[in-house]
Amino acid sequence: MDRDELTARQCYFLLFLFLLGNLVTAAGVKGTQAGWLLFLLLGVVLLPVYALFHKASEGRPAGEIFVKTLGNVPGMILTALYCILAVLMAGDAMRLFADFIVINDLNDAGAWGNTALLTLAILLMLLCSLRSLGKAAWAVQPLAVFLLLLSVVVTVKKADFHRLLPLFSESPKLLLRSAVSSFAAMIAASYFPVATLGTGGSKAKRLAAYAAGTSACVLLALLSLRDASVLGSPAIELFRFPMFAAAATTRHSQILISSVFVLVQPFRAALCLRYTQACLEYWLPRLKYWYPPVLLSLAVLSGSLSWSSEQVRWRTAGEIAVSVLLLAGPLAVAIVQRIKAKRSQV
Amino acid sequence: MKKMILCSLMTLLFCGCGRDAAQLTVVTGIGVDGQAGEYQVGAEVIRLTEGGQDSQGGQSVYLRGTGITITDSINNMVSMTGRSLYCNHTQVIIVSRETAENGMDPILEELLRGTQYPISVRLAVSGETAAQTLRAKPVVSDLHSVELEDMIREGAKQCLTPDMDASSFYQQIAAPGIEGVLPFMVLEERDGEAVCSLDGTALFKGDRMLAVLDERDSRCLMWMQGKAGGSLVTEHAVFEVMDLEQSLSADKDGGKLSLKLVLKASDSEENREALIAEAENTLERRCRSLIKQLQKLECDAVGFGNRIYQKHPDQWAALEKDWPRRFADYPISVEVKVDNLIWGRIWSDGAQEGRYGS
Repeated sequence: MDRDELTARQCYFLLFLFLLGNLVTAAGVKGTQAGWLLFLLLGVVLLPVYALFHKASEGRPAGEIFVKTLGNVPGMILTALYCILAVLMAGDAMRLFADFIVINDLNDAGAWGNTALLTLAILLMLLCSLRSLGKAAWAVQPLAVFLLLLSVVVTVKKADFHRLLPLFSESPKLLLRSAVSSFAAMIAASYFPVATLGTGGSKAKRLAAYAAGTSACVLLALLSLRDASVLGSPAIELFRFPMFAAAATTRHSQILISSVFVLVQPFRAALCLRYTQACLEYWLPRLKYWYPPVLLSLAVLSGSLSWSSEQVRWRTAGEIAVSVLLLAGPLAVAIVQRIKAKRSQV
Repeated sequence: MKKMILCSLMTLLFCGCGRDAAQLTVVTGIGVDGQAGEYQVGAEVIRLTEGGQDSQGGQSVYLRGTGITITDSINNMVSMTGRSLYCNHTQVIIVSRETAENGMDPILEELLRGTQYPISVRLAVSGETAAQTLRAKPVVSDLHSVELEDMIREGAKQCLTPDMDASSFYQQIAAPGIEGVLPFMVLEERDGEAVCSLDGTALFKGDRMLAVLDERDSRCLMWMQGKAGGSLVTEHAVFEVMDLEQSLSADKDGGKLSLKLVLKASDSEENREALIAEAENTLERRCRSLIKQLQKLECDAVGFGNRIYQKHPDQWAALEKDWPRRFADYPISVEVKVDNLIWGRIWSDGAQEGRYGS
């Protein structure tokens, strides 16, 4: 099977890149002064959630996970909902890509020109084998981490750690909303790459998934710490792309952030669409050559219908619903599996 | 397939660059006069084509435009150049004193919101009009705005003046319990020509310029903010401030400023204790005098209020509303300690005898 060719290391790189996606926005805890602490907290919360995802998926094909345990009709309905969500997330990632470049005036290609280039890259990622995607991630991830750490090094002289005080100066309500936003976009959304890559299938891959999650959270915590200590409050809440702005305080070093973003964002969109692709190929394998262009078109359509000025902030109203939905499926599977196991023992 | 994916990703990197340099006019410095709604903006731009060096020519050209906003004024300059102005390489933005006294908020709003200006651009206030300052002749460089930026940066190292970029200045004026400061420059007559020089620090209250500190007080303020550099001149000696550690503590009852210095002295090692005492007393006296001056202006440029906000946010909630007025009567103590005194490259005669015995 395609997924069996993925090594644990490739799973690590792919999942790491997925979690770095959307990294430039102010969405979630990144736009807060205490974001660095909240990322560390998210890194801890991530472990039981990933354990739940692994328990539910057990390395099965993505389209089989809910159907096998919950039954045909409920399973297919749930899988269909997840597929729709995956397409919406991919569209969001693609829209953010274009918005970031247009708002920061990085080139003259405009939203559609940049989207076209991104679409081409994602199309290749959907057409290739998972093994090729894993190898591409193997090449990209170290470069991305290097560029991000370099951006920290060049801006550290502008940091003043007194700007981190007082801790939790934001209202608890705002911090909670930010945490929920990041949970929905990062941890809950990780179900898609976990199911696609089949990291629940072996111990090595499960460990790789945990390692990817925690190391991504640590890196994002470090970057948020840099942003808060360089920009301070209230400036960090002012910028739509705080990481980009913090890097820009040292002349021209914002290109490090923009380079990482354009390298990483296609992986986020592609892994979301690959989940839908895997589910559809499981149900209707005959039409598999149609799925990449159709899914991409749906993602572009969904991205273009989103309201652009709020695009950099995840839709607040749906964040809790998205988190609950993404956790509910694996939770239901895990509970049903446990009940079945107890019954079979009896 | 992996190579195709990597190649396609690499082409995405070009999403970060896509301009033909020949179509751009690169702005290196901007001067802002006037008020919001009717700005007069000057820009020093780089002349890209080589048209021969005459006595009035050079590498840069000065353009002038008017408009409702700074961006509008700069865009109106295209009628002179035929090319769009590229401001992302702007080194320095000079604001006239009159404009600064009317408020910096509209300017900062534009600089931070507009993506065409780097947020790392240095800001300064000019005693004369910004146009005159920007048009002044450079002393050693070809580009005056580059020279102004160098002046500010090097001046900050000598603690002559603060070094503020747009984002740092915004942070200072927006942060609770601290007022903003910017370098202040004037035109001086030298050999029949007007040249720019740093002349202290512009103090702000909110976003409006309040007063100017002279060079001596400006340096003292930099030391009080924890910057090392410059010289401390006492009655009997001159010291270079090699290193400085500032410690600021504050709560609702009072504040304390402690400075620990490492000085380099140009005097005999035999007078060590006397020199240390003189340096400590002189700097303490200067700090207290400057604090009195700042309190009279109700301008907390050092950041006592900000320290209360950071360490005692619950106390700050009660003080925040009328902190400037409270600051005027806020009890502040100053303690200066010379941690080490170093002597430079040579021994004094007396000290040499002491090393080897008489």
